[in-house]
Amino acid sequence: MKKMTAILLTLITLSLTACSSGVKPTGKEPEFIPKLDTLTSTTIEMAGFMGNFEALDQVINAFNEIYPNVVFTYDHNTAFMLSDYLKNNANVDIFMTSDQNITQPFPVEFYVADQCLDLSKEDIDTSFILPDAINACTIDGQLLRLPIMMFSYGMVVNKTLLKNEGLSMPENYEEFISVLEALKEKGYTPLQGSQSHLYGELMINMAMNILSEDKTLITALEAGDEKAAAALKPVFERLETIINNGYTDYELNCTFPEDNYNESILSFYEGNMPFYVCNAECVSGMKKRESKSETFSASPFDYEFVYAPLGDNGVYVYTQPWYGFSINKNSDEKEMAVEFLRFMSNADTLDNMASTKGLPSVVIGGSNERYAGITNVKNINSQASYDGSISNYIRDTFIQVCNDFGAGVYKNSDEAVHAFVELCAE
Amino acid sequence: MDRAAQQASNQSHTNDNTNHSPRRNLFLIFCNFVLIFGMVCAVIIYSNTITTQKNTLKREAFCTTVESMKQVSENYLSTERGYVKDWAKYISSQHMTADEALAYIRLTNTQEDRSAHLVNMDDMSARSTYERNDNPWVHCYQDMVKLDTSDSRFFLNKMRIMFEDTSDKILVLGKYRVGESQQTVISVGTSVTIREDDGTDKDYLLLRLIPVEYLQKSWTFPTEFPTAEISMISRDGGYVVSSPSLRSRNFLEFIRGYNFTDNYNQVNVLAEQIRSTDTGLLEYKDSKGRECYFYYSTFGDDSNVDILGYIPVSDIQVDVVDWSIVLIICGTLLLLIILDGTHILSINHRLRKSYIVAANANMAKTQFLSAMSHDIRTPMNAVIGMTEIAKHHINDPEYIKNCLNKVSMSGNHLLTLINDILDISKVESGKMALNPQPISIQRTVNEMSAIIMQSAKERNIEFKLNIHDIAHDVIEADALRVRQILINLLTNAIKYTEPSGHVLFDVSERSIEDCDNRIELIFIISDDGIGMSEDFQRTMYNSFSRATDSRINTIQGSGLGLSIVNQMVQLMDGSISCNSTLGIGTTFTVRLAFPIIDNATPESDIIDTSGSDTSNEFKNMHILIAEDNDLNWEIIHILLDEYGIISDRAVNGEKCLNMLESPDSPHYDLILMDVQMPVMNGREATRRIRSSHNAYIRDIPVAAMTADAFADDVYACLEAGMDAHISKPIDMKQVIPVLRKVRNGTLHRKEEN
Repeated sequence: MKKMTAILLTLITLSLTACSSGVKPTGKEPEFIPKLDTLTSTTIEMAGFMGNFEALDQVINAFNEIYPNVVFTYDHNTAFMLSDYLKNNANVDIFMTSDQNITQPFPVEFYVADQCLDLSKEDIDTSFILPDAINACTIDGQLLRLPIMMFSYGMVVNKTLLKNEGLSMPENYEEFISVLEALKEKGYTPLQGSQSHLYGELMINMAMNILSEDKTLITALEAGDEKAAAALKPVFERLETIINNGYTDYELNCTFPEDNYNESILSFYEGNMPFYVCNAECVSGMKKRESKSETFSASPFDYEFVYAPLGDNGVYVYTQPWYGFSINKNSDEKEMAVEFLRFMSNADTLDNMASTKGLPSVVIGGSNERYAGITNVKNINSQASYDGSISNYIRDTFIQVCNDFGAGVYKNSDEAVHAFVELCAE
Repeated sequence: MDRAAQQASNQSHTNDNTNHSPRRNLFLIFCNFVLIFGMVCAVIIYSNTITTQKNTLKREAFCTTVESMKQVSENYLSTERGYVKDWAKYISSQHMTADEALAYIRLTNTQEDRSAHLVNMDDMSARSTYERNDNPWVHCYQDMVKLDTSDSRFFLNKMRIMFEDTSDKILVLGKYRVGESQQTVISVGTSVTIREDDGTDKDYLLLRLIPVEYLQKSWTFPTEFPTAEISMISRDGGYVVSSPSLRSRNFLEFIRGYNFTDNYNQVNVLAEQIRSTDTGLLEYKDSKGRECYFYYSTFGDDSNVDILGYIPVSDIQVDVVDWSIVLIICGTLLLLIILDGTHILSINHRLRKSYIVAANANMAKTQFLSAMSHDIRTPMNAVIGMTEIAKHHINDPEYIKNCLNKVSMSGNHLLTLINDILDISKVESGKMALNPQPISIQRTVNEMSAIIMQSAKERNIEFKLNIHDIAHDVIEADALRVRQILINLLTNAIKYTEPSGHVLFDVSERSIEDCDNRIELIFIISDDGIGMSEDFQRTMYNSFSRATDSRINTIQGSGLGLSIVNQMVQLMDGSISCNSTLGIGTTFTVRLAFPIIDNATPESDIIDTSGSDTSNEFKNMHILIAEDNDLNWEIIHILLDEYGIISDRAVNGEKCLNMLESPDSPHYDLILMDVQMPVMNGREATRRIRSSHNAYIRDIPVAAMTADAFADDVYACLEAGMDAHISKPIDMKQVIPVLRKVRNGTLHRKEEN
């Protein structure tokens, strides 16, 4: 009897142990081998701007299955004035950084490169991450942040609307103008979005491709050289065509919120907006807001995020890393912070994060069906990715000039492109 | 009901039992399982009730704890407000300028990380005790004005209320971020009067800023709720202080993200609930998919801040049911059912076997009674019949003699039958003991042969004795039992051999290896008689077994002979084997081992009443006979009288005692005591005799003379103090040895005759 009871208890214990132990590896994910004492009890303080926190939560929860006594706190901040933030919050172990936080020391309130741990010296596997993304996060040979997702500019197209109007998806500039014209004639305002986003984000892929193809143009641009203006002129000319032909309405665009986010998305779900010009951040918030729109819930339609077909032969493909995670090199919990990023730096984990967040994956060959429209492009005019050679200032200035052009600040494309060159030279 | 029908009925009953048994077993097992299931259900229902009650109490305790945390927070904020009110009071009383006020606060504020803001409520410009690049100006309040959102308007309105409020209500501003110091804070404040540059007084709002992390650290949950967390949220769901598990931008986003993924707007209901109620207990999933309790409670109507307690439901759920225990109990019960069931089945199996044995025994008893009835009635028929015939020929002495001979023969057969039954009874009860004495092999065999020879001659059967290789003639053996074995086998051989047949009695000796003092005697009795079937041979040693051959149904026999032979042989550690073929003949081989005795004279163990002269041997012996039955008295009295023995009669035990104790009592040599008597039975009378104070009476030999002839009866008589046992019907061959021992003074007590 005792033997039977003992066997029974053993079986129960074994089955309970089997149910509770270990982290189940998923799919191709290799098993994570902890380097530290898994019973370590500590708190990791994180700061950042993960709008959709579920993506980070799932990683933290999985990490807590291995290190159950590691508590994570999270403080929302922004990339702006990150330097000051860190001065006043010296205990922060992991913080999110953008390009502007590590690429240039101005403005100083943003610049935190000196406080970032060089992740390339840590045992963090980045071999499966897109090389351009790693390059963009590597400054002077130091990997200052772990890129976790990618970022793109483009537009969301209402495929059902186009189909209902007998139009097919344009694949080059000529077809794009043709479709815009047809939509305009049918009474639509084809291109819509916040005035502070639409003009710059519509054209930036083209501009970045032109500058990436000939890196001397960057120098010329910074020198105020006419050569740069001539090279970038076609960008502004095509924007001029769009503006002048009334394919977008500045007054209407001004009704969209500054961040081009919540209300913009809901406007798109009203169903009569052919193209919603935006970036991947906006796309990341769309899926969950489908149920927020009563109109869309009642009459759902097909939509897809695509690159604007502004090239003669197709689209200008351009991607850049989204925000990444950096480790405070003065952190008291540096080892555990590195362990967390080491855990996070895994193809499956980063793919899942991107999928949850709704942004393109940073993993080579990574997939996110939400971005099928920009990952499976048929006709590519040219493609480029952010590698740090084009400064944030040039990028931000370009967007600003384009938006000003849309607002009527500049009379024509020539004036706009020269203004851009002059501003860059400053 | 005849025997076959009875058997059929018994078989049928047994079959019925067998057929119903599995169904009954299944029903029993089903009942057991139902009981276990019922017990588990009862445990679960009871446990669930207790669990629900305990969980409700625990949940209420959690809410109470959160309320106490709120009280702690209120006290903390009240203290903080006390600081700012003290500052304001002193600054106002001293007519300080803004710079002086800030300098004073910097000087007196012992907690440097808790800066103060002096806000001009006209334009929302503000100066801080924290200076960045020697610049005290902060812009967070003016930024609120610029934002012009509903939230910022609400924030500014609350600043206004705080500015105008003179009560002790705790109003909390925030949380909000001060860009210059990159701190996230909440603040408490009050109005303060500042002297302007032009010397006039102007009221400002003096705020004391509290970094949210300090507030968070002031909460420590009791150990009862180790996983509980405390947060503070604004009534629109924004975090004022967020605990580690509550992430996302705000509380509502957090709940929506993990609970309303398919219905974005569902969170609006929750938002409205928090906005419109002071307290509430919510149950939603957290980031790990666990059901959690969220308890919110407002700090006050105007505070716009709620405290929010969080704990996973599973962490405060009391699991009264220890499932491993329930599992073990169920397993144990199941095991018990299996063990007990197996045990009961085993008992049932044994009972069934016992029932079959009992039924067989009952059947055997019926068969026995049937056989006995037959075997007794047959000689009785001869006795009664011949007696009746003799009466009809009373004047023909020769005819009468012939009839009496037949009566005597039938009587003897009846006696043999009864003696056989007694022997079987003795053997089966284990009370038969051997009485080894030195005997002569040659003499014993010859005597047996002589007896059988007579029978063989009468039946015209050729009987041959072949005794050979006898190296040791005198052995130690129970002559009576050896004779019983041989006589049975020889009688059978004669009985079952047709006239003109042959019977051979072969006796030889064989030495036993490694044993010098014992020999083995081999007795072979073979005939060319009718033989036995193989079926009969299998049961021939059973009591009352007789071959049912029609050819022999005229032959008398008890059917106990072979059974007795077999049991006697077993008693002597010997062996018996049989080789028989129907129509050919039978050969029995008996092997018995006996100790040899050198130079000893075998005792004459044949009670020979005719060989010696007994006519005067017992003359004038005086015997008291206790016998209630007149006929029995008459028989024994006449038989004894023939030997010249004087006998007196006592009609019962008491009379016997009286006669012994009478002063006129003659000297009796022996008392022959019947057992079953009225007034006082023979055993009781003997016990009284043995306890008498009179030595003559106490020591007088007493021999039972009774029809109680079973072993137990003999034992009871000897136990009562009798010296010998003579069974009825009275056979003088039994009586004479007793008389002889009395005469010789060698009759010892407890000697069985």
